[in-house]
Amino acid sequence: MSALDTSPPKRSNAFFSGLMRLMRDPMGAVGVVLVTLLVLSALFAGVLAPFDPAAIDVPNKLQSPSATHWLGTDQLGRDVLSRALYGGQIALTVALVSTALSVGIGVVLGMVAGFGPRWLDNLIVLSFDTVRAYPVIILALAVGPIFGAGLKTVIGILVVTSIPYYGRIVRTSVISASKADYVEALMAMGMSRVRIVARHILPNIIGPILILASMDIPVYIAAEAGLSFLGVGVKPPQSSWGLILDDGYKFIRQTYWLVIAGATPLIIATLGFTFLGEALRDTFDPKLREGV
Amino acid sequence: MLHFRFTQTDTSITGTAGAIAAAAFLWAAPAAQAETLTIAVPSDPGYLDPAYWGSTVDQFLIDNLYPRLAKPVPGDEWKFELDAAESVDLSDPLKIVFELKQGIMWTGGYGELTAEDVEYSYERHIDPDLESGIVTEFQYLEDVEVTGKYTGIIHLSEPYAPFWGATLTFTSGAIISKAAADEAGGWFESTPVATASAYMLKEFEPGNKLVLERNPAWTGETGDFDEIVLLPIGDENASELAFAAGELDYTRTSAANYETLIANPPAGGVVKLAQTLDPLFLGITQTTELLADVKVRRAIQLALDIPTILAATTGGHGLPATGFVPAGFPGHRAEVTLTRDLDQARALLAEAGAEGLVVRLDYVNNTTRDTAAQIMQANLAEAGITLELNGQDEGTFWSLDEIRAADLQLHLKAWTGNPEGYYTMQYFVEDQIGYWNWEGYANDEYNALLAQARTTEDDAARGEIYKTLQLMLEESGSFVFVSQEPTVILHRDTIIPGILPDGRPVFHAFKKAE
Repeated sequence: MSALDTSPPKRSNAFFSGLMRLMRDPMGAVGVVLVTLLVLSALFAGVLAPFDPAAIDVPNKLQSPSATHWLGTDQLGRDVLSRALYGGQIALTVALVSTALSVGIGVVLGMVAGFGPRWLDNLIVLSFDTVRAYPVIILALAVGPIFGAGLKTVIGILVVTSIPYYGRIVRTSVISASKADYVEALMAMGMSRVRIVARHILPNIIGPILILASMDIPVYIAAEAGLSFLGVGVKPPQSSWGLILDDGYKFIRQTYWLVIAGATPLIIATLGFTFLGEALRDTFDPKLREGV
Repeated sequence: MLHFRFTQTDTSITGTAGAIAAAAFLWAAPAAQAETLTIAVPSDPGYLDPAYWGSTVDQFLIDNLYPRLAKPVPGDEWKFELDAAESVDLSDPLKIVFELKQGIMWTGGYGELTAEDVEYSYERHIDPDLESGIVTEFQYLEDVEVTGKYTGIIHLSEPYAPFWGATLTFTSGAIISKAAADEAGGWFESTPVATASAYMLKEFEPGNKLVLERNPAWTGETGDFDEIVLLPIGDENASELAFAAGELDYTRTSAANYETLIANPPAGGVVKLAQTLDPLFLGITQTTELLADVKVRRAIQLALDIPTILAATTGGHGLPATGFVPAGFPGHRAEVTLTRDLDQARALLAEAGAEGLVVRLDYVNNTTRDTAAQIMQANLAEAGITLELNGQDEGTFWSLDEIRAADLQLHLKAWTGNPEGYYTMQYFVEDQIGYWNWEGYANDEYNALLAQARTTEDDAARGEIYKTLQLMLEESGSFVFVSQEPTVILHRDTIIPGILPDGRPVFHAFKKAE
């Protein structure tokens, strides 16, 4: 490399240097490993699961772990390992779809509120505050029976209750950025508000938002499990860690393995995504990285 | 007026909510005293007015608070004894002549139980203004003639053989105080004004507890406990955990847990298995367009694996139900006539052009029902039918005929059973569509046979008619009889519980162990 290299940094180099920084952080390394394991096990559940997760075998119900059933069987004789693996698909689907929709809609509404007319800002903020006033579980228990339990209902509840969170952050960032000299200069030059937001403000705030979103993934995973446990989440024959935990609670006197089987992947997912999110924040948030 | 009919295994709240409620109470409540008997019940009572009783808890309490002319006796076999009656003459099919015991006093200063109370208690059910939920059971009552302070004659408009055995000796035969009911405006909900039994209501905190205390004016048999505390715990497994934690003296739990409990009973606990009279059955509504074709309904029947459901929900201890008459009573069908045949199920679906059928199953959301529902879902999936599961809380479930209106589909439910088949089968006539006949079953031949059963005095002959009626119901495709539900009773070894053969508690018969 010459003393003065003006060529733009290669994207792959930036990615790998970021990944290396991430892996040098012990918390980040653990997070990457755990999340990778979870994602792979969910993606390849169809290959890894030794049994059909819905296959009932009542004569072999509530069995302890064995060579045939590594995590035992539930009250219907279903293989718990297979159900846990397929439960990972549900957990990740809920987490990723909920995150994407919440961030997407929250960012748009936040930008509209921050850069739009005052009346619209007030209306959106009022809507955010109204939704945030209801605890997620209470809202789910109220809404669940109306729309019926299921994957769509879970995602809908999580998205609706998360949009205000992202929306408020984006709105505050946009209001702050809109007072910057460069934005005022661009407006003076006649650039449209939409273009200013899209080209100049959004790129500045999306990074921290995505880091925040990554840290919220375990919250969504736990919420899905919690809602399924309470009966307003995923419904049979689909498998969910929350449903396994619910079965475990009901049959705790017969076997404790169901609780272990439902809780372990939940703990791994929560720790993995939390470690990864915090490491991402430490690695990619320049303010934190530079100790500002 | 809608009235609900539940069984002890149906619950009004989910297991989790039940556990939370139980935990909340147990946190707040002091440990049970020596003279206090603490019992778990599936829910709060709804109506303690016999005209509207519905839930199992209503049944427990009405049975234990009000007198009847005669009643079943605690023990392992069904036997009956006179209760408020000194004597009863059943020799005339159109008359029941009775004489009451003297000195049975109503609480609250409402005086002595008299024949006028009997007249009032039974005739009110046929008063259209009351809209009694059990009017069907009293439809052939003409009147009650009071012939003296303690004597009277119950007149029937037509012979009604099951009236004594199925109605008057069970919960619907409860006698209430005319003076007290009049003062309450003719009816009441969960706060009876006057009762007459060994125990009387002390306090009721909905969702928390109901407390009974000794009735100081009671001169009959009484129990060993000063107070009986009833805690509403919806889920059987939650009450089992509460028992294991030492917070209950008596509870019922799922028969699926029987083996585990026998092998590893909670400390100081005694485990007992009892067969209830309650039939668990799957209703298939034939008035719903989706299920109007009998081939579709038969396909659903044939796709289900009832022995597997029995094994999973009762631990193999449940008797397969073959109809509404429990085992051991006239009319019980010993032979299981419905067996799984997946090939025929698929063929029938193809004939009906109903491949890819998607149907909904409603059920009360507790552990036992949920287990049965999931097996049904897997069974039907093998036949190409998608079953959507809709677990409901108890209150919602028993309002389904109103909520779903014309779109009732499949419903898994247990009814309060009775030794007399007529008691349950009378609800499957056309007039009951929109009330209790959720299956939409209507058959003139069935109606005629049912009427014949009503007037047949001979138990064996009546039983043969019941067998035919139950077979007709099954062959309609609208009924899948699953089990005669067993129940497991858990009680402390420091008490001797007083229970009927079907596991229902008789509070005054609970004694302390020596």
